[in-house]
Amino acid sequence: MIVKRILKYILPVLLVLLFFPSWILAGLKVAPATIQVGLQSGGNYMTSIRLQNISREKEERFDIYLESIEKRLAEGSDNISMISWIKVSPTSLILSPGETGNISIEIAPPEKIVGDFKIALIVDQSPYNLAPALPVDNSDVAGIQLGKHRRAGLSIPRKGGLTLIKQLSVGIPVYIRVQPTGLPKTPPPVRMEDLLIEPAGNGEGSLLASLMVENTGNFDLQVSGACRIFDRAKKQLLKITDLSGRIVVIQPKGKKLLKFVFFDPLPKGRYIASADLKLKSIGFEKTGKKDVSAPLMIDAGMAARLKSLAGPGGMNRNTPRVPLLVSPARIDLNSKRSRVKPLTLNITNPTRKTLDIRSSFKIVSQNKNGGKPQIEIMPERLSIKPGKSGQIRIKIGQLKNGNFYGNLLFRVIGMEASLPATVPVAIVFK
Amino acid sequence: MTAHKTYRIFFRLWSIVIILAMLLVPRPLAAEGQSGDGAVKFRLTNPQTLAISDDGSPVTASIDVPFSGSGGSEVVSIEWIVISNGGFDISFLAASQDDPNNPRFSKDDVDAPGQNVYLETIFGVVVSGAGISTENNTYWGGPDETAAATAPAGTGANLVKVYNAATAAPDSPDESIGVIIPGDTTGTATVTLYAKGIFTGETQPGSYTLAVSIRAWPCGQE
Repeated sequence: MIVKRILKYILPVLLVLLFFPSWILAGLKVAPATIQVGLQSGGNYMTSIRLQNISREKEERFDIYLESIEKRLAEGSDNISMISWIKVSPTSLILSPGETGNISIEIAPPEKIVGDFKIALIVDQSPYNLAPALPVDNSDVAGIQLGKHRRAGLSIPRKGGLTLIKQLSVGIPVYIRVQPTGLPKTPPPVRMEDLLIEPAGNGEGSLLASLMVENTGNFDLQVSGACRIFDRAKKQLLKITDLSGRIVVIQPKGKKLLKFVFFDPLPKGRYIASADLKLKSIGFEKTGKKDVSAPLMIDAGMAARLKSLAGPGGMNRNTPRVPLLVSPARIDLNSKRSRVKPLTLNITNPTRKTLDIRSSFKIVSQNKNGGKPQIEIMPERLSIKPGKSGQIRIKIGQLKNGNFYGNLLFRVIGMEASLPATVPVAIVFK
Repeated sequence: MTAHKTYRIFFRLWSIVIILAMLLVPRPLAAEGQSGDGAVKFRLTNPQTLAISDDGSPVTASIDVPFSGSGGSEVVSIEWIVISNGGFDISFLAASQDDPNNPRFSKDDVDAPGQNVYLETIFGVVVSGAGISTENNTYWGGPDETAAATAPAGTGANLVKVYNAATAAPDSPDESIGVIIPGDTTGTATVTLYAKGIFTGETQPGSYTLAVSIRAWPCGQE
């Protein structure tokens, strides 16, 4: 009895509330909104997307077609050629309010075609639906003033009108991986241009090292790594930065400019910049490595420029840092022993209020065989009164072979929008 | 209260709870389609959905066209609602007959029927909504949200420009705004486009029209 009542009265109301929000007069919904397919060369696949007209009262016509995603990503394989082996049907759908239709997608790559491919399935609200522009009063179109009433300064407004017409469109990315039978072991070569080092642009820190990397293969290439600046003999590591913690994906036959941003300035002198990249070509077993170095000379003018970009109040210092003074400003550890003594850092609070500090360690890069270093910070939480200093001990666990680079980060509670004070840590154990 | 009555109330309550749970709990979508020749793997466990909508009507502003001087202008705005359980990018499509890469308001030329006259047009975009976040900014076409809405300065050529990472195409809305993450509770983000037509003393009066399409790009799998 109660179930019958629920089915009769409550269920329809719930369905209406769920699927027909009251403010929607025109709209479309797609599910799934992305498609990811893996298949072997010569295979074929069929899938579908559900398209729903979520408008409250209007019948809608939707136009459906494939478009190269290259336009949006500006890199990648020859997507246009894919259109010959991907078929979509139907190419237009007329749906009543609330009605759902299916779009079928057939993917049938020819024999010997392998690689990662991307294309976009576009669903456009057809202009067929559009209401005509609203009429605007044009009665005064000519704006002519005649007769004896005409005089300078008399302003009779002429009428104009602006009408914006809205349309809707959804681009559904279709990711297709066509794999050969059995993975080849050697990844395709990766081309790199010279490492370019220059003062950073607006909002990009102090010094910018950039490197153009080209993926010559048919599969996506994942790039991670760091850029280091050494002294001219390449013995002393001075600065290190990564790709903002990201793995950069370069699409097949595509290029991407990797940017390594250094936020602190360098003084006048000669240096060596080195970008160490880890390259993982998806679809291949082996992982590649590449080291690109370039000499860097900073003259007095460039040093001043870098300082002006990075210094307090500098044009690229839009994001404030927490007001902490940390000493030493960096930790370099060259050890022949696997056990090292704990280090002590002094943190000073130069402000007029007590600051609650949270400390952490973030690894930037590490030697593959070395394992992650065990860094213990004591204490991790510290409260420092105005004008006072506090100490933090850094205990480094037993070292294994390899190099580790990372940052000690000091954040202040209540200043989450500010960048943390950072102490770069470089550990080399041989 | 008899045991029978208690049992009936308990049963009714559970019936309602079960039906509501069936309706409201998101269900994983089964993979669709069938494989043909060759091994097929299809990963589709919690797919992104995306809905885009508007109130369905054009927006019109009436403007007094001045006789001389640099003249009047008016900002017209339209908004779209995007509902998604994942992040998305946006791009815009609009064109003028004389230049597909430079959308402007246009109308039939009174002096030369069949031809169009064009109005200098500038644009701004603002993304809003409870709990939304964006990769970069919440606006395009001005130094801040207010300017993008009240005194937009983005060009039509840049409005329809699609962000292009390889060649660092500057000034496109997608570059300025980046990925849009709808609010957690609503799953909704509102995208408002502001368009300003500049009327001068030389402008032909009349009704100028421009059709603009927003295209939402889910980016959950990228």
